[in-house]
Amino acid sequence: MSAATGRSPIDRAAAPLLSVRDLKMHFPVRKGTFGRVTGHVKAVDGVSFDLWRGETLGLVGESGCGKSTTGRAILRLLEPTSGSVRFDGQDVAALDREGLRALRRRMQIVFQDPFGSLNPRMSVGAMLEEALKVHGLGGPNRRDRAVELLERVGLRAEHVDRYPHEFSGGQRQRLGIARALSVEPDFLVLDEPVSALDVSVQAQVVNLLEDLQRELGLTYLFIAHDLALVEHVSDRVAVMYLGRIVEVADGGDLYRAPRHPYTKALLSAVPRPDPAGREQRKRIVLEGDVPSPSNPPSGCPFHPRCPSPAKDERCRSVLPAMEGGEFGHSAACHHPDFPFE
Amino acid sequence: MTEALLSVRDLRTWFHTDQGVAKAVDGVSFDVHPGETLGIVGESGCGKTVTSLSILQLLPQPPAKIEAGSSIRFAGDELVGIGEKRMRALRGNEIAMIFQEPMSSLNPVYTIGDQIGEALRLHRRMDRKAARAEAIRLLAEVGIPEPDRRVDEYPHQLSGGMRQRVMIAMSLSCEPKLLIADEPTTALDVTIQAQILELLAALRVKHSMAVLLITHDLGVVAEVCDRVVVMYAGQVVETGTVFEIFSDPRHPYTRGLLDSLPSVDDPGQRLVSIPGTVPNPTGWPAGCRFRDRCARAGEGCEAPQELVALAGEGRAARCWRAES
Amino acid sequence: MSGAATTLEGRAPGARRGLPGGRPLAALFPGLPHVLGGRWGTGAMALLTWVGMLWIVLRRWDRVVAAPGGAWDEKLAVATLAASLVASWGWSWRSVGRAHEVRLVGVSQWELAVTAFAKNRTAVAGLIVIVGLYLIALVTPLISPHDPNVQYDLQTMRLVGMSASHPLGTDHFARDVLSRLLYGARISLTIGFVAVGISVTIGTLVGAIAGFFGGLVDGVIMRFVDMVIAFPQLVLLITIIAIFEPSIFLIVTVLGLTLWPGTARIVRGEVLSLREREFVQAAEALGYPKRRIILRHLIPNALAPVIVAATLGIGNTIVLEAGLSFLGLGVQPPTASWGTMVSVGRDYLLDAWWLATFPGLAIVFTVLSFNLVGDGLRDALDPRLRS
Repeated sequence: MSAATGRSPIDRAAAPLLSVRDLKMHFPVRKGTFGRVTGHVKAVDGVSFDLWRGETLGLVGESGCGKSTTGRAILRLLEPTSGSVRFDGQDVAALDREGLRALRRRMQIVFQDPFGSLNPRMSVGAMLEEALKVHGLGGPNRRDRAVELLERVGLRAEHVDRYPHEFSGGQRQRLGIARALSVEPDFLVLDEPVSALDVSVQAQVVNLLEDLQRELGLTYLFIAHDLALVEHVSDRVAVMYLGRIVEVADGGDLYRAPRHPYTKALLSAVPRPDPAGREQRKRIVLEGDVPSPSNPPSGCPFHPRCPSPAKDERCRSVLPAMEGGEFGHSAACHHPDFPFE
Repeated sequence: MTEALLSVRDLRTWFHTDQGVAKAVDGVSFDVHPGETLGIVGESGCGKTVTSLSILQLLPQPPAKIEAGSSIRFAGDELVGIGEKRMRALRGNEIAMIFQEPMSSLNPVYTIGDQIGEALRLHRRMDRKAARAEAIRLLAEVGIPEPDRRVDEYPHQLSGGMRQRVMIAMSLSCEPKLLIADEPTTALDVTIQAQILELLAALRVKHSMAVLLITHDLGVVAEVCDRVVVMYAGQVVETGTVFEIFSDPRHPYTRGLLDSLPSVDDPGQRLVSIPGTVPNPTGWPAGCRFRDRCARAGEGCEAPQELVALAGEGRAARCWRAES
Repeated sequence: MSGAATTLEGRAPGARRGLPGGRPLAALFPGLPHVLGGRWGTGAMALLTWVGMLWIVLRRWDRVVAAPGGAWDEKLAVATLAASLVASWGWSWRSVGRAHEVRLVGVSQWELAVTAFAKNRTAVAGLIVIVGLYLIALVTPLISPHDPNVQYDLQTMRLVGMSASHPLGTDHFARDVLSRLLYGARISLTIGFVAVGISVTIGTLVGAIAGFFGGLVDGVIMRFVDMVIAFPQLVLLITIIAIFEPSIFLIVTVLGLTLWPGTARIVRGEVLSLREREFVQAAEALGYPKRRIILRHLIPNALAPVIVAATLGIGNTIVLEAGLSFLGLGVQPPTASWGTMVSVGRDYLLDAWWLATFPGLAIVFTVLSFNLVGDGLRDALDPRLRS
């Protein structure tokens, strides 16, 4: 893959840039006038992964699986309930306010909604200059730096005086990227960065992100629900279901030979732009809806919907652990690789 | 081929606003035959949703206006200018529609049984008891578990997929001949999308309905459609069977759309993108409307493009180079 | 159907729009070139101000000359006069001279709102009336035909109808109704403005704090707000005014201190929803300090509904003050206010209809204008209604 995209190979012998261990994010459910806690929504319930410098890890899953919450908890936009996040050797959870501010120069986020992610009352120049000013960057002439950033993301110098409502969806997404890049980060959380865009514009933004990664040596956590897109941009892909990672693999391996029944079903559900093959293709249609994360099923969280004929008592009672090597293809399933269609 | 169930000819729906005339739909023609699934595909702002709303005349007039010369024939009858009363009798009865956001299309203060029952009592003159029984039967038909319990629930108690099933049950209540589905699965997750598409395909055969599927998702089109109409900038730019469109696209826009899709089977390649953005409907570009974004634009593209008929039933593309 | 696409293709050449008459006409009649050129709202405001103030200078020159040495309200009146003349003339001269460039890009949301507001003819008319009323209230000492509290001959001048010397007649103490109406405007308009000013300031601060910090702070503040709202406002007002001596100061303070919970609720709701918006999260992710996030990102985006509520609130407060005065709990005689004038006029409704009618009309017109402007602002500031 690296040959096709011209990316330099990832050095996995080095220490990972980002290391997440058993991350949990439980939101209390409050009822009544006095805010009595009546339960917890376990949005993220024990997520672990490593991310090496220059790598793109894709995080896929359906809505409510906790993928966006994971991204925000890593950046400490949300305070995680438990678990550890280490970024370049630093424990992110232990940082004080000053430390966190310094860290935020190095970790940034690009959001999904091109309409909600920009302050509607601020011009583009003011937005970019503000970020530079707060972090003391850009030298004496911040405006020149703002223009440079705009050109970097494929916009023009004259756009600097315009307001967000004067841009199209794709251009706003470029502005969000420019803002994230303004503080010269190493690591970007891309939270569904192209999901709200039209197909032809999606491709423009994806290409821009890939170019920036190559030129600036960025590391990405690419969160999305579109499997084809995630495979395209990612070196490795992690599949999430109900707050947990159920399978991790190199992109190609995951799509060629999925091990977890959920991944299999997810892949087979993706509509493909290939009408000729549609009659032959076997489709696994899952029954029912995703259970509520405030009351996840016992044992394997996927067992009520699992179509695998190997499903047994253990699936209903015992939570499966991730099996497989560190860089290999691992899955959290009692019966991985069980063939079925 | 059989006679068309729905026949749209030179449909022009313009919005007369302070900022000028937005020619959202500007001369669109296509046919839907009984029992087939026709997909209208295009990006946001291409006019596909306005087209579907024009068929049911659900657009606020003014500012919208279906311009003179437009024709929409359904089962032989002209729909343009028939008046609100006759249109009402047709809507939900002969032609049903489901929308992208099933939450906002259901009334939150009534149970789903009340809402399906209302359609039955209105169009099929059933009494309360019969309507309830029929509602339960319809909910079962669209695959809702425990329909006799669900019938008394409110929309907010259902998941997105369930709500879309309820919308489909409502649309089926009067055995329509044509179902217009406007982005029916866009708000849903892929596994739920697969369920709904499968359900729609099964119901289409069972009730021998025609389906007009409006979507931006080429994957969905490839999975369920028989024929495809590709729209760009208020016009039809290409028509053909789903196989022809995907294996041999003749319009550069169709080709661009297909190329810009990341493929599960062939990852790692740099995506082909279409430069620029969709133009504004208040001022479509002169000449070929895709010219500014077209890699092959050149001499001959300054003139407004006509649909060029190609080999194959109903096959055409709006590009003078289409035959080569 | 957004206008985005047209603004993308480079900087559109600024369309230049000249104004008929140009500088010569602007020098004589400020605002007239604008009215003729289609910018009738601002043009009419400047023209009316200019003509009205000139009239004062010409007809009341003796008072203008005497005013700088007089009481504080006379000094204020003459200062207003001078400022209005300079402002209307200067603005007109400058903006006519500058070739007017119509910008198509780089237009902020506030500028868009102004443009949208300017298209709403009834709202602009309301704004002209309001500005006019405040100007008249300020220059009242210069234009009032009589002293509002001087009683003329009670035998011959009591309850006399409209005449040249008393254009709106006289009241039961043989005082000039027009003069009392003009002085009453000062009281009513000031009470409305100041009371709403106090309540908006308190409400915005309290609401922003509750919304931003959330949790316990929010809970305590909002329960207190609920209490204030739950307490019958009129009863509270009547009680406080009954305990203390009624005075303008007391009314303004009490109104200001009881009206803020509405604003607080609006601002809290806005801030709560804004906090979830991604641009605020982006600001957090960029490590901006809390104060900057509140001042630069939250408050400017929460302001639109506050502005609308405040405008409508001034109208309501004027009615409230009139009601209190009508009940005898507001402004005390002999000070003129519209409410007391209506109250007195009620007793003479059949004999001297002008007593209650003119202050009544003044209240209706003023409140109507505020409501028109408020509705116009609501439409102009709502981005959803603007395509």
